[in-house]
This record gives sequence, structure tokens and C-alpha cells, in this order.
Amino acid sequence: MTIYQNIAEFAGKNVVEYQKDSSFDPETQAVRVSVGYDEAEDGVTLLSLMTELSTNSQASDITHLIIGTWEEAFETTPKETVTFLTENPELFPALSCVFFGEMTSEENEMSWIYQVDYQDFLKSYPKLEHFQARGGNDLKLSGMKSEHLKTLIIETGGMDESILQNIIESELPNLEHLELWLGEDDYGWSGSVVQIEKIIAKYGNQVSYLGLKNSQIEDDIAISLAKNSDHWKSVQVLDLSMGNLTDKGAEELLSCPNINSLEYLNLKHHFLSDEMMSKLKNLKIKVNVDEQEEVDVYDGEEYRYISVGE
Amino acid sequence: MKSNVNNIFWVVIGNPENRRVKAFSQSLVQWQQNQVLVLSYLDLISLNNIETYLLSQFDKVSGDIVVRFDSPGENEVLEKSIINFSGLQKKNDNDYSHGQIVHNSHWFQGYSTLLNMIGDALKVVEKESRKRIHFMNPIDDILTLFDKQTTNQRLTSDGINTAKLLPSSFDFSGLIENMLVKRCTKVFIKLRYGSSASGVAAFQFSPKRKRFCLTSSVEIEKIKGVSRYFNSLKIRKYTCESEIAEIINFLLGQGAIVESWIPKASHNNKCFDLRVVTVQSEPKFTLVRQSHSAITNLHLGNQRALVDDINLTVTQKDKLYEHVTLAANTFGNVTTIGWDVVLTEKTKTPYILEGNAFGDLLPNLKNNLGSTYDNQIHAWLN
Repeated sequence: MTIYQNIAEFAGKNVVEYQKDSSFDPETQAVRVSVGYDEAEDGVTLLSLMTELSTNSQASDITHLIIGTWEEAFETTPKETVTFLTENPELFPALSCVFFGEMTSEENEMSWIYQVDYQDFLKSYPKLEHFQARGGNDLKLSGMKSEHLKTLIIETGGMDESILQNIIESELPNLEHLELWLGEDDYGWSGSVVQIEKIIAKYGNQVSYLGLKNSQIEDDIAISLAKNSDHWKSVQVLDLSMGNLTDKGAEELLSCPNINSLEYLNLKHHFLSDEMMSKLKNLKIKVNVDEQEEVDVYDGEEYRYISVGE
Repeated sequence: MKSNVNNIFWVVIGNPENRRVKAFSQSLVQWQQNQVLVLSYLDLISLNNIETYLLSQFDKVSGDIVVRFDSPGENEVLEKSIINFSGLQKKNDNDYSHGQIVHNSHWFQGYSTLLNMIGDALKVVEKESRKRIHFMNPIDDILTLFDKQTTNQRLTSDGINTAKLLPSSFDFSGLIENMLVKRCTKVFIKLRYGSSASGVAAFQFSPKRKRFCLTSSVEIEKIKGVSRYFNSLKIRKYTCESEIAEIINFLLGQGAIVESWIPKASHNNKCFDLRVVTVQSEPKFTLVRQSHSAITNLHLGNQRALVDDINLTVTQKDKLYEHVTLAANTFGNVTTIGWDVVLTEKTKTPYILEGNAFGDLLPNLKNNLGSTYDNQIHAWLN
């Protein structure tokens, strides 16, 4: 399931696309800034739109900001805009929730998005509560340290091990929602189970939502979770969706006592057997086993595709 | 182009067994039109003397003659005859199978020759029988609409938003070079004379990482080292460079246009484009084609929806239909055209990608006058 639609809601607010001279209500709306195809043809850039937005009388009240597609997103990054925001935090003093790279696959496939280093940006906005980025290429999150950050979502078609390392080394004592789309090695996944275990150990007894999803090693992740059940006692929502989970991983989950105290187990998009699905449905918690996928056989080899692998 | 309302002799040239011809003929009956002659392309192509044949057919006709050319598609025997008719075909080179993409430009050449021969014969008939002959779709326009390159040039020169064409490339490496020069790394490759999704591929290329991705219904079949190319009913994603290069080299070799890939707007987590059917340059029907891939053609398992389902604002709708009307006016002598229109995501700006001369097959879609066929007949009767 590739992403074909822009989000309509972001961190509790409805999304409104920023248009010159049109009004928005920062109290109830998240503002989305993106460069349309026809605008890019006319020379509009993300930076020009952001500069324009910053002079809007309501800019200082914006709490939720979404950066959508930028000009020539297949080969350029949002660097200038991120620098502009980093250097001028006084222009957006109310900013608490941001999403960089919220684009559809028609605009640019997730694994083709080029990101930047957000270290300085995060320092400029120490009160940020929600940070989200789509696209893992060149994404850097070193030195993440915040008392305020509650939600961290990184969506990739393949996550570089350095991003996992950034998370392992981060200091986010109030993080509640950690969601990582890990992806597959064809598109940049280079992390390890050891790193996943370190992340579980670091935040598992703190967050209420843990998403280790869209992964080509979903079984290994499930095994790690089962093996380290003491390390994720606070998790109420476990999200292993969009990956290639099979009965092997699910069996381990079922044997793990934590499962029964979850509120919700999300396994949507999986390769489980019918029997396993009914076993999971018999759990006394809410379980999502929608989207049972079929194994592709090509030249005698079996392929289990994850949800966003492009 | 008005004719005597009560006395039209309708001539439908098509494949008589085809649902299009049948549906149009049924509509004629509903409009109390009983002077109807259906001519088969296959019969006409095999005649030694079309004029004599047509003269004999029109002998007892009273009133004006209105000619409708319908699609020559969905008939394999005719397809082969048309390819042979081009005269460009090597003798006995008929060894190709159903669904195989072959001899695209030869087909177009053959079809042009056939239409022009029929057109010339009709001119003679008009002169000798002293009957006025009108065309619902003039031959020149049909041939222009079948040629994606000429259509694009015509729309562009009339100031209509359409995709930008990249300069022609001879092979994969030439294409990559052109894409880099034009800073356009997402393109559609389409057979120049193709119809529907035949030989269409969406191709993107990441210069930074040298990564390639091609989405297409084209499939390669390799037998003893010889590759043949088919239109399948499944959209596939290719990521292997050599495989992609092979498909692209084949399509470019057949004669293809390369146009910028305009990202389509989305709704309900599917991207969509529109088929807008104009009748006498007025937009009359709109069909939304939704897809989970870059290719939206309905026979490839995609879904249809109505324009009211996609939440366009009044201004966006007006802009869409104004633009389609402009495009239709550049082909003002054609009774009906099916336009393929893309809206951009953010501003919903319309881009007219193609006009289909035989794009009026929209089963089950009706307005106050009836089907697309009813609307056309009504236009000629009023």
C-alpha cells in the first residue's frame, strides 16, 4: 500500500493547505505548505512560500506545520527551508508539531525523498512536541535531546542504521509515541536486531505506543520483543503492521505475557496463516489482522513484500 | 454541419460485431432513425473498388449522409489487415500473437491509408450521387488525435495546459541524457500512435543514486533468446536496470513519445485522472479513474467514480471544464472526443494529456439526454 493521499488530520488538527491571501485558523488547523507541480513550473519554491507565510499576521500562532512536496523533490532537499526555520525561530514561536516531507507516492516515492540533518532545527525549537519526517535518505537526527518531545515518527522505505543510532543516543524522557518505519535493504535498511533491542530497552518502559513497522525483519522484531518482555512494560499499543510478519514471529508474540495487557496489537499487512489469525483474534485485546498478504513466488524464490518498499 | 433533421442517412464504419457499433445503432433506433448503414472496416479493406461498392450502397438514399467512423479496435484479424495495408510490412511477417505490441507505426500508416481511401471514395460518391456527406469525425482530425505527438503540439500551440514533451530519444541512454538535460526525471513513455494503455510506461530515475523504476502493463516474453512484448492486464513495477532498458528501447524503437509525468491528484488514498467526453466542444460526461498506480486505465483493474465523489470546489470544476472546452474547440469539427485530463494535487489545475477520437465508450453513464451516443445523435438532429 503505497501512500496516495495527503493527510487530512495532523496531531489532532485538521489540515489546511496554505495559499497566498487565504486565511486559516491556527487554533484548530494545521498548516500545510507545499509546492504544486504547476507552481514549480512557474518558479515557486518551498522557501519562497515559507518566507511568504512567515510574514502572515497569523504565522506566530501556527502550532502545527506540515511541509509537503517541494520543487524537484526527486533530487533536491528541503535544506534551505529547514535552515530558514532554524535561523528564525522567532517567526514561528508557537510551533509544537512538525512533519517534513508529507508527500504522496505520485509526487515522490517515499524511498526517493531526500532529507536533511535536523539537529540544529531541533535545537532551535526546544519546545517541539511532535516531530515527524517521511523519507530516510540523508536524514540525520543526531543529538536529539528534549524534555518536551512526546511523539517521534520516522517513515522510510529503508532506514539507515545511523538513524537508529541517533535514536539510541537520544534523550527524550517524555517520549510517548515512537514510530519507526524500518523498510527493506533494497531501499536503504541497514539496521540490526541489536539496535532494535537497544531501542526497545531505552524507550520500551516509557512509551505507550511503540511502532516497529514496515519491516522486512518483522519476525526478528517479534522475537526480540518476546525475549525482552521486561523492557516494554509501558507499551499499550504495539504496532508491527505493514511488515512481513509470519507465524514464526506471531507464535513468539503469543508466548509473551505482555501481549495480554496491551490495549491494541496492530499487525495489519502480514503473512500469517488463517489458524494464526484466529488464535490472535481470540486474544482478549483489540487485534488488527487485516490485509493478509500472499507470498510471491518468482524463479523458485519466495518473496514477502512489506507495505512501503518503494 | 447541421443537416435536414428528419432525413439523415447514417453510415457507421466500424467493426459490426463490436459493442460500440451495437450501442450506437441502438441509440439511433431510439431516436427514430431508421436509415442506417453499418459498414465493416474488414469488408472495406478487402475491396478492390470501394467507390463502386459505396455508390451501390447509397443508390437509393434520400437526404443527407452523416458518416461516423468508429474504433477499429478489438478485432485481431482487422489489426493484421491494417498492418499489412501499410505496405511497409515484410511479406509473411504475420507471426505475432494476441496482445503483442508490434508494428505500431505500420498500423497507423495502414489505418491512415484506409481512412483516406474511404474518404476519397466518399468524395466521389458525394459528387456522383449529388448527396451531401457530413462527417461526425473528419478523417484528418481522427488521424491527428491518434498521433500523440501532433496532438500535444497542437494543444501546446493553442495555449492549452498539457504535458511537456521531451526531445525524441533513440534509446535508453539517450533518454536518460535528455531527462538530465531537461531536469525531468519522471516521465511517461507512450507509443506515439497507441490507444488506451497499450505500450504505456511510467518511468522514474534518481540521478543521485542511479536508481530506476518503471511501472507498466508491458510484459517481456523471452523464447530462445528472442524477446516479445505484450500488453498484459496487470500493472507491474520493474526496478532492474537492464530489464527497464530493454522495455524502453523496445518502446522507443516502435516510435514513442516521452512526456513529463504530472503527479496526479488523489482522493480516498488513490490517485486519479479524468475522462471528460465533449460533444460539440461541450463537456458532457466526466468519469473519474482511480488507481493505486501511476496508470489509471480502467481495464487494468482500476476503479471508476463520479466527479461529484472527488470533492472539487466550484472554481476548480469551472477551471477544469473551461480548459476542456478550449481543447475541444481546437478540434471543433469533431462531434465527440474523450479527453484524458490530469488535475494536480495542490491547485487542481487541469492538464489535458490526450484526446481520444473513439473515447466515447462509457457504458452506464447517462445524462438528461442519455448516453454519449444519444448526445451525439441529438446534436446532429438539432
